[in-house]
Formats: sequence, structure tokens, C-alpha cells
Amino acid sequence: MTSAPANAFAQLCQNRLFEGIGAKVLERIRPDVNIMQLKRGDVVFKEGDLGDSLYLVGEGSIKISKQGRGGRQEVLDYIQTGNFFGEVALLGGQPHSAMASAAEPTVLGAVKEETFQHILELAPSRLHMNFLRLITERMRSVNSHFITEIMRSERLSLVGSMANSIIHDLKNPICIVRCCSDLIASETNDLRLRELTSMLDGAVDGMLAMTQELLDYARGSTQLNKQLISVWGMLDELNQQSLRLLPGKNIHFVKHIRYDGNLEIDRARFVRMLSSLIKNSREAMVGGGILTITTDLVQDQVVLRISDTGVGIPPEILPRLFEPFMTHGKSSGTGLGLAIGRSVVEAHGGKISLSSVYGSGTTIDIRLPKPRE
Amino acid sequence: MSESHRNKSQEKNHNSKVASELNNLIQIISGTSSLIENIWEGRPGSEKYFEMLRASIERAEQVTAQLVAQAGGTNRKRLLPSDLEQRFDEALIAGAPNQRKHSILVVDDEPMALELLHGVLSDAGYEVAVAQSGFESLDLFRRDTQAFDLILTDLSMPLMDGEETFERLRQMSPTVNVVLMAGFVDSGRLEKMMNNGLSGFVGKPFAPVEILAVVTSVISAADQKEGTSGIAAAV
Repeated sequence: MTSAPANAFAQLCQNRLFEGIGAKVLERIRPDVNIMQLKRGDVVFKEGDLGDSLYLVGEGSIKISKQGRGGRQEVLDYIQTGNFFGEVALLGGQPHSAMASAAEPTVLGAVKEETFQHILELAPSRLHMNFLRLITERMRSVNSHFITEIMRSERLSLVGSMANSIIHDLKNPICIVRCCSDLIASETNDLRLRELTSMLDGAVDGMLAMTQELLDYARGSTQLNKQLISVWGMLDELNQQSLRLLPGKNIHFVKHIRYDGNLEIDRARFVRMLSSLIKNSREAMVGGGILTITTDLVQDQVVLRISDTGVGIPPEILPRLFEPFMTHGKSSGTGLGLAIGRSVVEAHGGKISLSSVYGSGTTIDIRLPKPRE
Repeated sequence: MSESHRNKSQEKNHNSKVASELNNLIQIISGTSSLIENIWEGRPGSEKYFEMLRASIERAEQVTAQLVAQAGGTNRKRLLPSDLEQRFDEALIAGAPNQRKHSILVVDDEPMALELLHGVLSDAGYEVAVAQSGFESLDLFRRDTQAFDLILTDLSMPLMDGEETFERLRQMSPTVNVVLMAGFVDSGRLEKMMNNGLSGFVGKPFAPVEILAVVTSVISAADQKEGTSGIAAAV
């Protein structure tokens, strides 16, 4: 923490908690307010810490997050300039129920319980009103966040139950198709018919694989069959599956291969996932464009970047893009592409992120741990 | 650039693609027909059909050669560094030597072409591996950069052509021997690649004896080089 800027206290006085309270009154608590200067990522308190202060945000913003399933930090809320947090632990005398950390360089004012009581006495009705109003607002926002989360998990569990019943219902007809096709193939010497039955088999296998994928996603567990494969080997596989379609769509393919060593991946699953990302890119570049694949090694992580010069994604959809059933401007597909993408990458111990400029293109970054050889 | 100029260059570009594709096909047709001819045991008198086939292939070759010339492609049937020319002539007469198993990686996006070359080269005693794309060849090569005595690559392949494959192979190992095959290649481009260390070039369509002589002369020259440097190191 560095020393606070001179105007820090003035900024804190602008806090919504102090609305309508005179400068003179606030000046009296000045010595009791502890001003903190935070860097991005600095932690104010952790989940379970005892709360002894109320925090006012003078500048910047604070991320409130909670450890969710699978150890991932789930963001609950952001507290912006002019707001405050930490009141529940302070008033309820309970440990903090979430973690607070700076989302950017932030100036905070910490107000201890005695000081808070002191202001309450100095400006009773005003502060009570402000406090009550802001807390109600906060509750409403948390509520709506909560509802969205529930809806998300509802949809997820819906996928689960749906996939189970779909697979169950599909298995019978698929078996019949397979048996019939085998019978036809064994009954005939006609090459054309044999070719057709083998196409049928291929299609059935594809259906099974897709349903399996849906089920994998719904179960949230992905059994990986990892092996070492070089970047070239992966590109070769990718070339057979999807890259070769690019020239026909008037899409120029550019590669920047700065790392061509091995990856430790489930070959089929990983390449299928990349193919579906490339398919998205292809569909975003209707009139043609440039698809760029970059590989690089950054601090022991292999970075795989796929970027296109397509239509991009509207900013309002971006935050929800990795959710299942989020599709944008597509008439076909399961709406699971990116959701599966994330689950596959995370199952490999990696991370996937997406950035997009609406109207000019989308970039997807995948980071994987470099295999130890 | 004027409109007519642009149209001309577009046309040239288009012609070069057509010429390249035609030569690829002629290669496959002539290759398969000579293979069939070898095993043919038809009725007496049926040889004349092979003559007809050969004559039409030859005519197709001539027409395509005109197209190549119009589009500014090289008219060479092959190109080797000058010190290899004599070896080529000797190899053409002697046929492939068979003292030590040498291994060759063939790269072509056309499976039929791979199949044919695999047959020709392995019949001559070479150990042959195939790759259906530049990507695959780099993957194979990366695993063991000493595994192949020579890499024979097609030029026109989608997404990563023979020139890029050649450059990336040289990056992995500057001593690798790469021979280029092409149904069409711009003369300037070929010259540049030769200057960058390409071991040789064969224009499609080529006869089996021709590709064998090229492969043999490049490999024997590399063997000798290796031998002399080995002696130098020993001394």
C-alpha cells in the first residue's frame, strides 16, 4: 500500500452513504477513517475473516467473490466508486461470507464499528435512511444475480436430464439402423449399395459421438485419453477435419507457429473442439476473410490462438457466451459449442478466453500447460 | 493496375492452376497405365490400346506444356545442382542402387499420387513413408529429423504448400534433402528455392525412371558428402 493521495478523503465524502451529510460533520471523523490504496488483485478480506470495518469505495472498484464448485472463484458483485461494503459482517458480528479484492487500482476508506456508531450519532436520521436505501438496492441486485444463476443451473440440469433421456431413446433406433445396414451389406455384392451402407454407418457413428458429447457435458465429467502430439500433428488432424474447407469459402489461412513442440491432449476430443471453434469462425466470415492460428510458448504455457475477421459478437452477449444454449446468429447447432469448448479446455488443465470486436472479428485464446517431457 | 492488366494476371493465375492440376492428373494416368501395362496379360493384339493410351497421354502433356509456358511457368523437366547432373545420367543408366536401405518421405495431398510413388520407390528398394499434407510431414519429421534421407514434396497443396513445407523442414534441420515435384512452378520461384538449398526439382508428369534417377543422385551425393565429412572428422 502506498500513501494516500491528498484528495482521498474528499472522494470518500462523496460516498452515497454520506449523501446529505454536511462536510463539517464528516470532518470530525476524518482521523478515524483509515485510507487504503490498493493495487489490482489486493485482497481486502477473505471469506471467513472476521469483519470489523465498513469499507467505502473512494475510487476504483472492488470484486466480491465466493469459492464455488470445483474451487473456482465465482464473482458475486462489483462495488463501484461511491458505494460501500462489509456492512453485513460489521453489523451481524459474523465472519465475512465472501472475499473482497480490488478489481483495479482502488482507494478505500475503512470505518471501524465505533466510528460508524459515532457518525450514526452525529447525523442520525440521514445516515439511517441512506444506509437502509442502499442496502435495499444491494439486496435487489444480489437477488437478480441469484435468480440468473439459478436459471443457468436449471438449464444445465435440464441438459443433464434431457441428454439422459435422449440417449436412452436414441439407442434403440440407432441399433436398428446399424443392424439393418449390416444386413444389407452382407446380402449384396453391389458396390454402390455397400458404399451407401458404409455411409450410413459413418452417420450413425457421428450421431453416437454427438450424443455422447452432450452427455459428457451434462455429466460435467470428461474422461480424457491424453497423449503427446506435436503442434504439426494437431494441425494435420485439424486440416483433415476443418481447415481444408477454408479455401473453398474464400478464407485465407495464416499461421504463426512460434511453438511447434508437443501438446498433451485428448487428440480426438481436443481437435473436435477446435474444429467447432473454427466452424464458428467460418460462419462468421460469410463473404470470406482471414483465419489466423498462432501458437506460442508463454511462461511454460502453450498459447493457442484462433482469430478471425468475421462479424464479431455483440458486446451484450459476450459475458454469457460460454453458457450452454447461447447461440448468436446461427440457425443450426446445439448451442453447446463454446460451453463444451470450455469444459474440454478446463479438463486439460487449461483456460479459454474470448475477445471480440463487434463488426471486425473474434479471437479465442487457449492456454494449456506445456507437457513435461 | 489497369483493368485489362488485372484481368490478364488473373487469367495467368487461373491458367497456372489449371496447368498444375492437369499435370497432376496426367501423372496419375500415365503412372497407372504403365503399371497396368506391366501386369497386363490380355488377348494378343491388345498392346495397340496401350500405344493409343501412351500417344494420348503424350499429346495431353504437350498441350499442358503450352499452357504452362503461357502462364510463365518453368519449362524444365527437372533441375538439379550442376554437380549432380552427371550422377543423374549415371543413375538413369544404372538404375537404383540397393546397397543400403535409404528412406524417403513422400508428401502429396493427392492420395493416388502417394500410392503410385510409394509403389515406384519401394519397388526400387527404398523405405517409403508418406504424408498427406505439409503438416503431417512436419509432424513426422519433427519426431526424428534423421529418419529420412530425402523428402519428396509436391508444390501445390492447400493451406501449406511445398515451398512453405520445404522452408519449415530446413528450419528444423538445415541439412535435410528436399526434392520438389510440381505440375506448375514459376521459374523465379523455383530459382529462389534452389538458392535456398532445395536439392532438386522434377516437373510433373515424370516417368518412374526419371524420379528414381533424381532421388538416387541426390541421395548418393549426400552420402558421399557425409562420408567425406566423416573422414575429415576422423582425421
